[in-house]
Amino acid sequence: MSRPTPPDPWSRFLAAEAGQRESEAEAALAELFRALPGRRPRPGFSDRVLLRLAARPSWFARPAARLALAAALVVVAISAALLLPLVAPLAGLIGPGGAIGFVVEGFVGLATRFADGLAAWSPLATAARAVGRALLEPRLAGLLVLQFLIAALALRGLVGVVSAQRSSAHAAH
Amino acid sequence: MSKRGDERSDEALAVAALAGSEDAFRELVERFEGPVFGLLVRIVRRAELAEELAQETFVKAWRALDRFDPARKFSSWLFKIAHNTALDALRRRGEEPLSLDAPAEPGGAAPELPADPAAESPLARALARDAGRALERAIGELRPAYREVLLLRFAQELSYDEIAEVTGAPLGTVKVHLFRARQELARRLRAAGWEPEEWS
Repeated sequence: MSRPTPPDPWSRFLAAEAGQRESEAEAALAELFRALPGRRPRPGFSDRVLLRLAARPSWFARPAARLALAAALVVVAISAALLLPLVAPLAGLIGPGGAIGFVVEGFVGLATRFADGLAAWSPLATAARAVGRALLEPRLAGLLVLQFLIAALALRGLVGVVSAQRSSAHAAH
Repeated sequence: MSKRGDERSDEALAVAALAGSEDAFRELVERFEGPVFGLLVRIVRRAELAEELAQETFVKAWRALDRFDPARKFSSWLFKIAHNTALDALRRRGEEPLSLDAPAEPGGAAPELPADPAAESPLARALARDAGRALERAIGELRPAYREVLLLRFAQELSYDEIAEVTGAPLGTVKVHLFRARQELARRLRAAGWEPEEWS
């Protein structure tokens, strides 16, 4: 089978190699490489690289983070291995009946706390009842309304004084 | 690739990128996407993986810019990152790609990629046909360590010192690898039937 005529630097390279003419062989080979079809990645390569730069590496991707996580898991595993023999007898004591008792006791405790919370309101209820009884007296009720009106008027006057002072201060500036 | 006319040098762009200029970094990516991808695709020999690794290389470079010494050549620094990225990726796949102990790869196919349409000289057209495929195949069949030094020397046009810096190998080792890589390449081309005598 006949081959196509090879490029000239090719024959020079092989001839120089056969004749151990090193610099000639190097020069011919360099020429051959320069003429080899170039290789390029798919279009848009630089965009894809810059996109990867913009994406922050995940925390978990860092070797130090992975190491720390692995160390933490090892510590947890060792701790669990040490603690389990201590906890196991307790678990045996509880059993299914113990678990039901635990839930029932939990409900009872919750109800007791609720009742204690309601008891805290009883002094307030006593005070409210006393105020209610007093309000049923017409003289006391009239006095309270009068006090309310005086307080409202005093508050309004105070607001007026403060507003006037603020306006004059702004004008001075 | 360092400086073209009034264009800023790679190193100046790296300094600007370090100061936070995304445009400067984009220009660096556009300058080096071909060379970095070209190197990686010939090392890992899969276009999809090579593009992923090329992206990873640039992302690593961006994050490590504060460790780049502008007195040194940016391309060598970047190729070193690409070299290490390829090594890590291939190790994850259970390969030891750039070790001298790694065997040569018989029947290694050339990476199947569309050629750059910009390369349109007569020699490029000739190489894009049978001769080019034969050369790519012969390069692909080399021991990975030989293949990489050959690519860095002739495709990326790095000096021996720069290749030593990129690969982390002593200068003497680089020279020996290059010498043997050339010999091996010539031997494989002859074995494939591309003898000089046939052409005359």
